[in-house]
This record gives sequence, C-alpha cells and structure tokens, in this order.
Amino acid sequence: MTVAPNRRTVLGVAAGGAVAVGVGGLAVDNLGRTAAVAATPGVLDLYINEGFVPMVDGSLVYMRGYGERPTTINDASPSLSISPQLFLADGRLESSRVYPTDAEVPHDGRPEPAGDSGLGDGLYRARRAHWASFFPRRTIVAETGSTVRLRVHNRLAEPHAFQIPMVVSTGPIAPGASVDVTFTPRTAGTHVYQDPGYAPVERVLGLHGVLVVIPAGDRWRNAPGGTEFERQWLWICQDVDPEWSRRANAGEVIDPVKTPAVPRYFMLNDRSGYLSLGVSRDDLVNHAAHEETLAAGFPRAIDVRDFSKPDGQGSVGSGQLIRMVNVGAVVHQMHFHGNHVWTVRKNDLEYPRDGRLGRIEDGHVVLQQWEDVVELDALERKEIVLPMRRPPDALDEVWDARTEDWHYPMHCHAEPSQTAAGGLYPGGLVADWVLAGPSSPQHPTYRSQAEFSSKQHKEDDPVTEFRQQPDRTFSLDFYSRRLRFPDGADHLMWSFESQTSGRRFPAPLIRATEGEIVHLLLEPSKRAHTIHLHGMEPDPRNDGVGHTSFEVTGSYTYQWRPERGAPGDPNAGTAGTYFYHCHVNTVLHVQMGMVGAMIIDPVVHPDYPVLPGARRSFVDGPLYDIATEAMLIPYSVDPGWHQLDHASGLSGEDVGLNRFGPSNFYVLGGALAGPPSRADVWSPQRLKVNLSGNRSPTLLRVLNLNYFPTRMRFTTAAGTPVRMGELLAHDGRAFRDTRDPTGPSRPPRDIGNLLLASMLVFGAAERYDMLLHPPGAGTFLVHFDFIHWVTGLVLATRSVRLDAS
Amino acid sequence: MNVEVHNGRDRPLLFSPGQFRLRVGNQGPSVTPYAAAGSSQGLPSGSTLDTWVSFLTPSDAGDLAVEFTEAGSKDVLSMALTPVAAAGLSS
Repeated sequence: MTVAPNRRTVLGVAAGGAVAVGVGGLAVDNLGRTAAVAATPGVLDLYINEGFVPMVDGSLVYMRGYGERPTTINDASPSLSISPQLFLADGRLESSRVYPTDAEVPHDGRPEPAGDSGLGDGLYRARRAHWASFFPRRTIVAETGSTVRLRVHNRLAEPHAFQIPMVVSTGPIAPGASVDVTFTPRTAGTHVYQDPGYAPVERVLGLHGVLVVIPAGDRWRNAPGGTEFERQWLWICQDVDPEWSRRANAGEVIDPVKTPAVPRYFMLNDRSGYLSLGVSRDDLVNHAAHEETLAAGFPRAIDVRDFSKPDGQGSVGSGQLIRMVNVGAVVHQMHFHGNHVWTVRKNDLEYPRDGRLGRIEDGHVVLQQWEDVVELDALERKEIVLPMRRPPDALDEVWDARTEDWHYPMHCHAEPSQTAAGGLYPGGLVADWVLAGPSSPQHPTYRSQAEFSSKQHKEDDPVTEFRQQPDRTFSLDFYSRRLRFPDGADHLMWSFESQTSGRRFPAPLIRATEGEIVHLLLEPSKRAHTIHLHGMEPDPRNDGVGHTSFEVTGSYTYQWRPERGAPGDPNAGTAGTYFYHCHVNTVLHVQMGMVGAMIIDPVVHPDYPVLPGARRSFVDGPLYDIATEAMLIPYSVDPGWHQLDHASGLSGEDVGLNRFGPSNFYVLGGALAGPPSRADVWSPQRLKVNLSGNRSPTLLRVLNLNYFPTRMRFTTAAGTPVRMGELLAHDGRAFRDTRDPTGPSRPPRDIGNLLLASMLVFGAAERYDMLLHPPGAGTFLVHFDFIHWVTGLVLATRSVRLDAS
Repeated sequence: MNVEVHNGRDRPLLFSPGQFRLRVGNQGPSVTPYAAAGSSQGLPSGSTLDTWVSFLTPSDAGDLAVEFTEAGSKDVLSMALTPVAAAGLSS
C-alpha cells in the first residue's frame, strides 16, 4: 500500500526537503506490520509503536511513540522513544546523549568552573565553549546545513504521521507503510516533532519529540551570534491522560473537543516527581535525571546585556540555556526558585533586546526580559537563560558561610500539574536546580512517590542562621475559618493572620523596601506549613520548601534582604510585585487561601527623586500616585477541594487534585492606600484612576492566583477596547532596553516606546505592574477572563469599574 | 499485602505493582502503593508471580479492599480484605 505525498505536504518541507512513501523492500510481519529493517547509513529509522508505560505511581498506561526498534504491545519494554540522535553538518549521523561529541562531558551533568573569581566573593568563572550537553530521549539534534534523513514506519493499525510544524510533514502513513523524510535545517531553533492527528490526541498519547537545530559554526549559542551559554538543557513537558490512553487502546477515535484531556500525570523528560528529582532508589534513573534535567552549575557573575562578556582569562559571564517545550495538553507555568531567568526566544521569534522594538503581541510582551514564571502554552517552545547567579536576596553573612550545594525547586505553578494520580504532591512536573557549592552531600532517597510525598522533612523550631537586626518584621499565624465571598458564597479557608489583621483573605500584605532586612515569623500552630516568598530569592533555608529545606511545625523566622536596584542596571533590583504562600501540599494549601501579596518598594536614588504623594515603581521608573495605587488578583474556587484535609493526597490517596474544577470566580484586591479592608474577603467595588495631567498616574499591580490562565482586558463602559495599561515590569523586574552591552539599560518609555496594552494574558503566579492611562474622564472597565487550561474556553468573566478623573 | 499474580492469558503481559490500589471504605478514595517488592516486569503466559505491596492508610481504617486493574482495561477487580493490623506507623 502506498500513499502519495500531496502538494501541501511537499510545500511544507523546509529548504529543499523531500518526502517519499512506500513499503517496497521493507520486511512485513504476519500482521502486516513492518519489522526491523536493515539500517541505511545516515538514515534514522523511527518505528511508531505502542505499549504500556509505568507512571510514577507504578500504574500502567497505554502509550504510543516514535521508537528506535519495532516492538509490540505485549513487550515488557516497548520502544516508544529514541535515544538522542545527532545529524552533523559533515554528513554523519551519530547516536549520542551528548553534544558536541568532541567536547568534555560534565560529570553528573554539572560543568566544573575554570576557577574561582579570585575576588573572594564565592563566585567562579564559567569555561567558554568547553562543555558538552546531555539531551533527553526523544531528541534529534541537527546542525544547520546537515541533511536530516528519517524513515518513519507505522506499525499500528491506523494511519499516523510525522510532522515538524512549518518544517516537514509526511501526511498520513498507512498501517504497515513507511515514509522517507529528508530535509535540511537552515535556521537554528527548537521544534516539536509529532503526529498531529486529532490534535493534541496523538501527541499526548506519546507521539512526540523535539528537534534542536544548532548553528554548526557556533555550537555554544542558540543562534549564530545569539545567546551564548555554558551548557544547554532540553526540558520536554508532557501530560498523560490514562482515560484517553485506555480509549485509544480500545480502538476508539478520541475527539478532544467533546472529551478534553484530563491529565492525571505530568512529566518532564519522561519522569515525574521523585524520579525527576533524582531521589529514587534507582541509580540509573537518578543519574539520567541529573545529566539531562537537573540544571547545575557554579555561581558566577553575569550581565544580561552581554552573555558573551569575556573576563580575559578564557572564561565567560554566561549562564545555562534551557529549551522548554510543551508537548502536552495544558498551559504550564515554569517557576524557578532562587534565580529569575532571562527569556530570549519564543518559538521561532528571537525576542529583541532593543527597547524601541518591544511590543505586545496577543497579550504577551515581546522583549528579552526577566521572569520567575515562564508561561508555556501547548506546543510552545521557549529558550531561557538560567544565570546561575548568587541568589540576590540572600544575606552576605549566609552566602559567605555557604559550605555545600544550594538546591532550588523548579516546578510548574499551574499547581494541579504537581500531582500524580490525583494526589502525591509533589509528584508531577518538577525539577530542582543546583547552585554548586564547596561540597555536595548525599540526599535521602525514597522507595516510591508515596514515600517521598509523605516524608517531607519537618523541623519544630529551626534556627534562623546569622540572624540580623531586622528593618521590617512581620508575624503570621495559621487560621481556618469560613469566609463570606462577594458572591455570597461561604468557603472554608485556611490562611494566615497577623496580630492586627483579623481572619481575612488574602492574608496580610507584606510591604518592604529594597535593601531592608526583613523578618517574617511563621507560627503555624497547627500541623506543618511554610512560607515561600515567591519571587524573592534568598538561601534555601529561607525559601520555604520542604524537600530543599524543611517544613515548620513550631515556629521559624524567615530572613532575607531584597536586593537594591540601581538606575540603568538590568542586573540588580527587586522593586515590584510578589506574593507569599505555603509550600506544603501547595496545590491544596494555596487554593485553600494560604497566600498573601507582597510588594517591594525601590530605594530612592538621588538622580530619581520622588515628589510628595508619589513613589516610583522601581528605582529609575516613573512616578505614580500613592493615593490611587491598586492591586487586582484573579482567583477562583473549587468548592470540592475546600472539603479536603491538610495532607490530602500525600499518602497516595486519589483526592482529585489533578482536576481543578472552579465554580466561583473572583477578582480580589483593591486600593492599597488607606486602612486595610475589614471585609472577610478583600475585593474591589471600583477603583479610582487618575487622568494624566496634574497628578502622577495610577499604578495597577496584578497577580494571578488562579491556577489557570487569565486574560485581562481594558474597555470603555460600552465594551470598546482601550489601550490604557502601560506595562512597566513583570515578576518584579522592570522591562528594559538591553541592547547596549556596556551602557545603561533604560526602560522602554524613556526611549519613546510605551508598552501600552489593551489586553494582557498571564498565567498562574505571574505578576505585572502597569501605569494606567485612561484616554479621558469617565468610566472604564477592566475585565478578567478565566480561561480553562486545556480547552482554552472562557469559564467566567469578572469586571471591575475604573473611574477616571 | 502478599499477592500472587497469575497470567492465565495466552500471551505475555506486563505487570506493575501500581496496578494494585487499596480502596479505603466503600466511598473512600483509592490509594497508590507505598512500596512494593519490585517494579514493572513481563509476565509470561501461564506464569505466576509471588510478590507484595504495601499501602499507607489511617490506622483505624475499615472496609478495606484491594483493587487490581489489568493494563488497558476499564474493569477493576476488587477483593475485600479481612481486618488488618498495622505493620508500621508513619506520621
């Protein structure tokens, strides 16, 4: 049986590619399936197979995949993915987990430094163009100018395909047939290969992988002359829906619109939870996780204006490049503790450094920028630099006394993705990254995800190391109470209260200034909790995560110092919007309300004085009016979750924490000036907004506490879109023009480019700061559309009135 | 819990301890294994495997049943357990 390539297929081939289809000359078994074929030099054979795969809880799920040998559904080790393959510009095809193959291979995946900085600052020099990188299974690496030759064999009973969107497609491959694919990648980048059938069904069932195209003459950059890195990583984000799998195995055709995916497992590079974190009892799995997933390196000085800045000693101030690819069905929100990351590319678009070219497309800012939460929509690819810098908010005394590695989590903040089998937090899409220290102590290992989830490290009254005299002190205690929400609903909430706040939601605002030493006393009083200072980056003991430090059963004083900003410096400064939350069984505890907003104000620099009644949003940012400053916080409630217990799911019980089904939708917050709200739930009736002219403009801060994406829109009262939100900062970092590698990095507005938006799309845990510029006096509206993380459907819209005068 | 798994089918099957779950109460949740003797492995036709799995449950839990799901199947085989004594405690 043969299938002729259609015209559309051929036109889809990039740069002189070709597709040839047929079964001639191939061995076929007695079920009509292609058996193993003799390898053709330079050609990579991909076998579309099926089989059962153990998940992190040990359950078996039917999956499909592009394998490296023919296997059957009864095979105990079905081949559903390939080991990494390299197509080199000199024409060779090599099978290798590391690239470049002539570079030194970092032990355990962690590049050693060239030496210390010599400055006694605990920093090291990163070797330039020296280290090889490990890649995970499913990777095809191709150097630009190479010829990629694939032969795809469909061994299943229904048609399948191989497609790299915008590059090449086989079209349907009939059962038992094979198709040759040839193309020459010309442009560096990161691409998904997949079966697009019933999208995203076949992809989610496992028919996916990643093509990484690397510039042949510039192997330590993401593009010719692009971002230089010490080593690179590839993170493939995957979701698994066992019900889709069961139905597919039964021969059903799955309509993803009628029956959207309900993922029950979430993976990074084919591993979840304790397996992804490398803390299992399987040394091979742990080792592979370290080499392929768990980014690690020694701290170094970096400058985001120029990742190729030499130090005259053969080393370079670059970080590590992470290519993040979402082949799953949900929107992921990749959150890094310990360091913000620098985003350089989305899909095929290299973000500009030039602030004059910064713009907003489809509600997203297109400009190289810092983020601590990177939104990753389905099929999206983003390239970011993990700078491996000293965590900016750790105290000098703590940093100087460091004796061992500092571990920080990376996890998806769309929190249902942190579960497995309906519970088992943190058993989903997680990774740690490691800031290497003088020693690397062994960490406990676990027999199972259930053991890991139920045995997080707890301490009664841990000591605050190098405790300093604080400039600001806050105290938080746990409470549980039913609260009346604006829609009249009562929800049982768990949250934090201070001595003066009363039992309200969200928890009390924490507000401090850059450079201050801040203390936060947590007294859980009931079971174990923590405070994670989301976006603040102290040492791990003050980061509030059980598996990288401890959970608190008695009391603990968190201590940190928000880094001071400096005018024109894109590498320093923390002024902006943050939040804090409990990081114990986070998926449940955050939803239950154990969360509050946090604001860091800038230091006042003599070159950027402030006027009475005004403040700057960051050190060299614009003035805003303190009296009308406001914060809005989209949040939604799944009432079923509010019936659960503190540790629900941690013993392995399926309590449905992978299925967030909100029915109540809210916009919380309001004006920040004046006394705190005395209502059960802080929520705005309307906001006063300044017209430009005689007063400074109004600053609006937004924080997404919803687990799903949110679309924010400004309109007139009649519904006409209005571009009135000037975006200043994201995740506590100002947008800046970083095109000058040595000169000041000014905010785009200072070089004539206001990042004005009528619409902003942002996912879980992201924050934006914006000035409001209403076009005239009168009433405007800001709408929040709550969007489902799989279907993209708007579940609800809530609006807040803005009175401009 | 000691279990004996026999493959009575005419083809090999893949077995994994995670195919067992513990049902706690008639309306209660099912629980994934806490530990097991091994990991997934092939089970030839006609062969029998003696193994064990353990679970975390509340110490006063009653009405326990063990459930087994064959790979790819929708059907769940449920077997009620006689009252059990805790083998260990975890807090």
